[in-house]
Amino acid sequence: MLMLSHLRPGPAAAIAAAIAAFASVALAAGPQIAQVKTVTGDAVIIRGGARVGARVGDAVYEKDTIQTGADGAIGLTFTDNTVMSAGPNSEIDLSEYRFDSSNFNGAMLADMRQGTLTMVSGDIARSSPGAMKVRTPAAIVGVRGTRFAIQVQGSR
Amino acid sequence: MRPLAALLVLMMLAGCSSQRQALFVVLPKADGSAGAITVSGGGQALVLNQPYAAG
Repeated sequence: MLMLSHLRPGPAAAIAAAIAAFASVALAAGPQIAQVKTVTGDAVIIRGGARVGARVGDAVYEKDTIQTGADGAIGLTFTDNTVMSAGPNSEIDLSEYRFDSSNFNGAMLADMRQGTLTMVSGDIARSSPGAMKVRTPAAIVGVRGTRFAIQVQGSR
Repeated sequence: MRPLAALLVLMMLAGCSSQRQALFVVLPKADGSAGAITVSGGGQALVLNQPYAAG
């Protein structure tokens, strides 16, 4: 068993971070659906119950939850070129995502619990109007191909 | 800058409607045109297809 307490803080922290990153990837189900492009302040990816600080370049998978703190913001680009930007105090579940780059067909469902979100839809909405949806506690947004913004008030 | 400006617009609009649980706004493309979104809930559906249309 690895005794991290016997190591100096630097290496111990690095090893712990590496283990957390490995465990996070191991919990991912299915192919990568998006990549983190921008991060500001407190932003985490929750995967299989594990919270990992988001970094530029990180892979994002179906069923991941994106969460930002009071000073946080994060930007993602999906494989269909949809761009999603979440502002402070946001929580968004990437519940469903599939995209076939050979024919541009696919579907996307994001569950937005709270916060602010702007999206520029990509190939899914372009090829299949209505196949991209954002669900909030009060309504479902069907996207026909556009840029839009959503704010959901709530508390964690 | 555009996402930041969009979030700012959203926060300004939200300030005009403090009782709302959610706010949806269509943003214009670079050429000034806009696509469309459909907001469905409570047995009603609202189509927003103009720049800065909100529901």
